[in-house]
Amino acid sequence: MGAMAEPGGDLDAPAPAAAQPGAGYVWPAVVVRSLVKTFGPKVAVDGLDLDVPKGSFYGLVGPNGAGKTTTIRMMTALLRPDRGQVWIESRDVWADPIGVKEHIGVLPDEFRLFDRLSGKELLNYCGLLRAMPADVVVARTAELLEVLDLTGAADTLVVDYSTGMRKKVALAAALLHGPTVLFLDEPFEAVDPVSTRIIRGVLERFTESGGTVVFSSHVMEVVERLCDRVAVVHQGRIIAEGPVDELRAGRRLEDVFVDLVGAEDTDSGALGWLGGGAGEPAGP
Amino acid sequence: MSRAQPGVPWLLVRLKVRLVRNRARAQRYGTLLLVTSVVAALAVGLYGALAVAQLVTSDDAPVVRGTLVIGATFFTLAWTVLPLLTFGADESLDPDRLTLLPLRRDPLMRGLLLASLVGPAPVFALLVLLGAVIGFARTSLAVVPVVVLLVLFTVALARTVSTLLAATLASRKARDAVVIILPVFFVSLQAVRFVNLTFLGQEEVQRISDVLAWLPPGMLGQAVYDAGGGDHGQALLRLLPAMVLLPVLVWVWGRALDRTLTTVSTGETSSRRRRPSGDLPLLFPRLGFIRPSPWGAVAARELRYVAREPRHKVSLVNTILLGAGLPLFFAIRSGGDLSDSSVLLATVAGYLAILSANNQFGLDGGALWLDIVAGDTIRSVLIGKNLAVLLQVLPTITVVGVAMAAISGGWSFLPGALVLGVAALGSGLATANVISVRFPLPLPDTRNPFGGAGGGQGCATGLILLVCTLVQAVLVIPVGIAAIVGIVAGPAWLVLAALASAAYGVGLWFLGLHLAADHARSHEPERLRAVDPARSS
Repeated sequence: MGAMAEPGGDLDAPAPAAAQPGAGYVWPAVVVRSLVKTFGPKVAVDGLDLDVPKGSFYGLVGPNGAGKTTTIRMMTALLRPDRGQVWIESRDVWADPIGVKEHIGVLPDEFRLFDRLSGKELLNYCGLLRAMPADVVVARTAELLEVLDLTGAADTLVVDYSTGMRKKVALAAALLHGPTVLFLDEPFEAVDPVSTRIIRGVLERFTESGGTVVFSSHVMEVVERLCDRVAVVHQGRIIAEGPVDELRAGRRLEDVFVDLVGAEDTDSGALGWLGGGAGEPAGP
Repeated sequence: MSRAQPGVPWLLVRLKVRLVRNRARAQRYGTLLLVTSVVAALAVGLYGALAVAQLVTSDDAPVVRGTLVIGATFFTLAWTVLPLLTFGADESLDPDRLTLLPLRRDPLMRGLLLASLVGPAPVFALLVLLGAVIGFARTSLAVVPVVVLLVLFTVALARTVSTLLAATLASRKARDAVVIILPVFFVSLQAVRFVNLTFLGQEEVQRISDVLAWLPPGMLGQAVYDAGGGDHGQALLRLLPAMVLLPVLVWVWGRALDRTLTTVSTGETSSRRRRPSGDLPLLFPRLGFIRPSPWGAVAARELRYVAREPRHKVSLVNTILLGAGLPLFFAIRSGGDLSDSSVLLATVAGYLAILSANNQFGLDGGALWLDIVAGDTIRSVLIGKNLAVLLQVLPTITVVGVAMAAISGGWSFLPGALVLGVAALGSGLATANVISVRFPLPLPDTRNPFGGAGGGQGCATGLILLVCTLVQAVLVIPVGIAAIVGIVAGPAWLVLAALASAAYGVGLWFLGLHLAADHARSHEPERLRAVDPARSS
């Protein structure tokens, strides 16, 4: 387990634990070295290295199945990696998961909630479970519900929430304890424009006050508008990384992304049978 | 229209086999558990077949007839109802999932019927039936078509019932309601187990089989008896109701299937707004001892879930019915003439309560990540969950104890009985906590309330729970000894023995909590993966 990491080829930061950084070393918010995860024969994450600077709005983009979700789950101690290390705010996630969890907020993909609680009860629960004082829980619950426009639905069971409302209440749960690093897996997936705007506003406020956001998405417009840095994940590795403006060099991010990932043009001769056109005779 | 689809039934059977196998592969020890289940089903089924074969050749005619009539009724009832109640129904071939495929109704129905026969449990049931055929084979082969009809009738009835229920239960409220009503029935069936069959004389067996022989499955059992005895005319006559009903069932099922395949069930329920709440609506103002703390939050959540989530309700209803049922049964049998010490039966309620606590994280399912990202919460989570169990069971123990004391006059045994109940609960929860973190099992998590983890897994779960129950039974022995001391030496000694056993129960609980938390802390991701139905298979 946990082979000591070499510094990644194109990353100039030293491997923190292995190199025992001196007094001058400034820890990024998140450092990932040589992260590997396989599921049976499938290599989901294949030696991934990543540095997320403090206070940045960091986008992980990549096609479906690129390994974004697996990476985020391993960064947040929800999935054990086969190899590699993750540091958050200089703490080794897999050596001290409990210490790390105090400082991070998580919004996984396809999450389930304790949905037979009302929104307000759910936030009460998350706060009290983290041993926060009751008065702080009460105050922050009210404030988060207000900001996320959920006050009207505070006493409705979460099971009756729409997708956007569920994402918002889960985001509230992730923010409640005042984390410094926020991990969001596809936070804007299946969310309507109004809720998207609200979530964006909250996240921007979070980074303005010094917090770091790591989020995954394949909606390039959102990434372009929100992120200051972006990493393109493909087949379990980072194939490009840098400030958004530098990476796209005047082009649209979507085009850069498609070029990097190497999508091929569909053969114009194929699919001739589509739409009832001439081709193979229809099956029985 | 013109061309039939001969392949579809066979395809569905193969799909079912593949699903059972793949699910087993995806699980840790899954293959081992599946193989064990199949071997166990074969072994026990063969044994059952031999037993039945021997029984039906016995000279004692009323016993043979009783076995066949009651057995056939039980076979049909169990096949139809058990999968619904244990959430073990096979959702792999849920018609809902086939909606988008251009399948014609008839081949689909044939396929679903055939697929019903795949899996360890069906194999076991069919083997036992085979016993009857073998037993009678020497005298009459006419038994064979009767048994085939019984199987067809049963399988068709089961599919009809489950499709009808699934179709009716589109809304969450309707599902919640049925999920509660059915287990009450299930527990009444369980209660039958306590009616030890040795209590039943031949007369009672005769009377029961006389009644059941009027229902189609019982009638088929009777027909097996008649055919085996060479009375073919009688047998044929008794086949008629099932032969008439079978096409009706198939027709009803076909209609229900059509509806399922062509209508959209949105599962919508008008959203429930609760009354505007106070500052900390999670906690209960009247239960002040549930503090605004980590364990208090968990206990409050569990109690809220008992009121709002059907499966939690089911487990509470089961606890109450099982806990109160046994003492009640003794009270009724004795005709009110109970010894003082029968108050101690209240203890049993404490023991039985933990039977549903062996998979405490299964019901959390995919939502467990919320507890895991909150940091080092496992101790608080277990304490909160256990407190919620205690709060649900204590009233049952008390009510049963008081009721038994009122009937028997053994009030002096009441304090001891209550303490023993808590001791039994403590010793049981100790094991339940360890098992819950070591062998977390996923529970079905679909719109279909009867959706299950699929064929094969039911037996695996059963094996694990059987071992747990055995361990729990062994660990509760000291509590039993304390009860015996009380019965032999009187109430004064009982108090002493009960206090000692309470110390034992609490001590064991602490040990269990420590072991469970220790294991859980280093296995959080694995536990999450195990109970999350979306990731466990």
